[in-house]
Amino acid sequence: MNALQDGRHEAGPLSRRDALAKLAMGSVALSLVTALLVFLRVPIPSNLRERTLIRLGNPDRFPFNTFTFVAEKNIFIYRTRQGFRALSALCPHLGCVITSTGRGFRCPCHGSTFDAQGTVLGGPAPKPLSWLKVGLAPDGQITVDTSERVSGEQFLRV
Amino acid sequence: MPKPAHIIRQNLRASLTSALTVLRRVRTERTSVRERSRSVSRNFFLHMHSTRTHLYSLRPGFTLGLGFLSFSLFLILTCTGVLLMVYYVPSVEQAYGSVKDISTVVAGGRYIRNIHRWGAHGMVAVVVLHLVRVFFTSAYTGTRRVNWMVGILLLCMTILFSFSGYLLPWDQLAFWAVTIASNIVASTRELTDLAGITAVVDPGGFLRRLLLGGDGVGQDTLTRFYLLHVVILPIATIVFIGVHFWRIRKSDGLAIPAEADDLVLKAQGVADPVARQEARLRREHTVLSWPTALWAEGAVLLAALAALMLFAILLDAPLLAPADISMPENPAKSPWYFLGVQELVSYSSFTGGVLVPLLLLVAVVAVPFVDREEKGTGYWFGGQQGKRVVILSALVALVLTIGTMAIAIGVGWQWTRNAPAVITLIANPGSILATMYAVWSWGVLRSTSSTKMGVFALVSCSLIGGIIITIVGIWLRGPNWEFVW
Repeated sequence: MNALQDGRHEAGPLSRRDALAKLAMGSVALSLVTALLVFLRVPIPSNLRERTLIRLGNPDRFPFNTFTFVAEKNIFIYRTRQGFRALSALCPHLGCVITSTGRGFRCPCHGSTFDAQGTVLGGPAPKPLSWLKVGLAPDGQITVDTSERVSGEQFLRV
Repeated sequence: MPKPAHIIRQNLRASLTSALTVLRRVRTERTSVRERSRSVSRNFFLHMHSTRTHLYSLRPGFTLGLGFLSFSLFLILTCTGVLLMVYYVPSVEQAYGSVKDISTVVAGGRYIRNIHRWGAHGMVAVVVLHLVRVFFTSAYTGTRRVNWMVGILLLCMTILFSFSGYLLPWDQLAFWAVTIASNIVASTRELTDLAGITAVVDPGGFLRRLLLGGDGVGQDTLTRFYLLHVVILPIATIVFIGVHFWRIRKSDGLAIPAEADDLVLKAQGVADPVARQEARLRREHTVLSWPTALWAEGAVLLAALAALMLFAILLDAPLLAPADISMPENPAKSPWYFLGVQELVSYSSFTGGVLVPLLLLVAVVAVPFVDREEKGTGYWFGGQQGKRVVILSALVALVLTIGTMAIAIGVGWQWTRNAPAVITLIANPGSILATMYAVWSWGVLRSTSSTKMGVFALVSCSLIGGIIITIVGIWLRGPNWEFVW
């Protein structure tokens, strides 16, 4: 009996014709899904343009015992006798740029406050500010890797 | 054998004559019932209407014209949007300048941009009000369940529309609103961090990267939001508006009471039941859609246009300083319809920005499946009991919400600071209010034994709560998100 012709399946073992028809429909579905997956893959960014390694120029740019806000890069650079440290200026709550209050930091968006070590004092920030890895490029420039978090006790001596 | 040139001349003359006949008929002959019915059913743009419209569904106080008002605003926004696209350049370097040019150099540009911006604000408000109207007249039961969900989809698309449009001028407002919103999306990490699985399962981070086209807000973000705003959302919205209208036809027009025929005829002064029966057979409870329903719609469209034109003359659409990636506005505020959410995320980004809005969405989608009572359909609040429940629930929500916010703002919400992260996630004003609303609605459901009253209570509470929290976000938050009075 042709199941496609009379529009209903009869009880009993699957006929060869039905099995082949199912196989055919299955392969059509599979190829459509595969094609769709490629379509959906395109908008997912794979080549991220943003550089995580930021070059900040000569160490002498940063005097001793100061901290400097590097605009555009959203990083605070600390320099003491012990060496360099870098603090991310992005609020861990929702990514606004924090501002210095002298003793610590404050986020203008939702009012999170932090001490000078980046510890949360108040507000909705779920975790402390991130200390970033400071390095020295072969040409002598100070670099900061925004993708690598370190402890606040780590200094780079120059 | 006539010459070919002669045949062509004859054919052209015949075509002209028939075209003139059609025009003359439109002018003079559309007086008969038959002609008027045909002009609706044979016209592609009008055939979404049935040829006759029930008088009850034309009552201004019943629908408030909100559905067609939403559609009118969509039409106006489409036209003004296309005009803006003539000059707008979707590039990080040029976007701000091109919008500034539209506002200052292009003849009529500022006017069109004003209409577009205020129309977008208006559309968010009107679509929400339309949902509220449909909900409180119980127009979601029976065959209308699917359309209820299509409507919610259209509301989501309206919000996305407005939000993606916000980014395009690339000013301070645009940049920081998108930065904050995309980080709210990624705040599911608060949850996955707790479970320690963020490295493997990170839906929010994935979605954020998909929206932004990278890890930061940049050219890829602008390209994507532009694409969403001018291609994907318009096509999707037009398709689903079509589905929305078609579903109304399939449900035989708007949701009206079962006894609507009698109500309308009584209002027309046909007191005698037998006479009413006869009038009903003559279909006197309906009118021809051409011209009555079309006049009503035309009036709504013109009212929308007039209001927007007035707004556009009186009030200029804001354009802040160009985006500065190192200095947020202080306070950095989203568009007004997001300020309720922004207030909630200032306690916990995941609970306030993702969990509570998602719960609300799920609750609203679930309404027609939870409540299957047909009684009360077509009446505001479904009758006297509904009115009492809605007023009482609104008062309860008023007290609960103002009380909770007063504690959160006055005493401060720092007590969870030293508690485990789970506590911060669970115990914040958003989740506490949502729980209290749910408990109240459950009580209403229990005491009235009516699912309709239960969902009425829940939606009334959420509505009032949402309005109060939004007001806090709009007016009571100043620099550094501090409370101002």
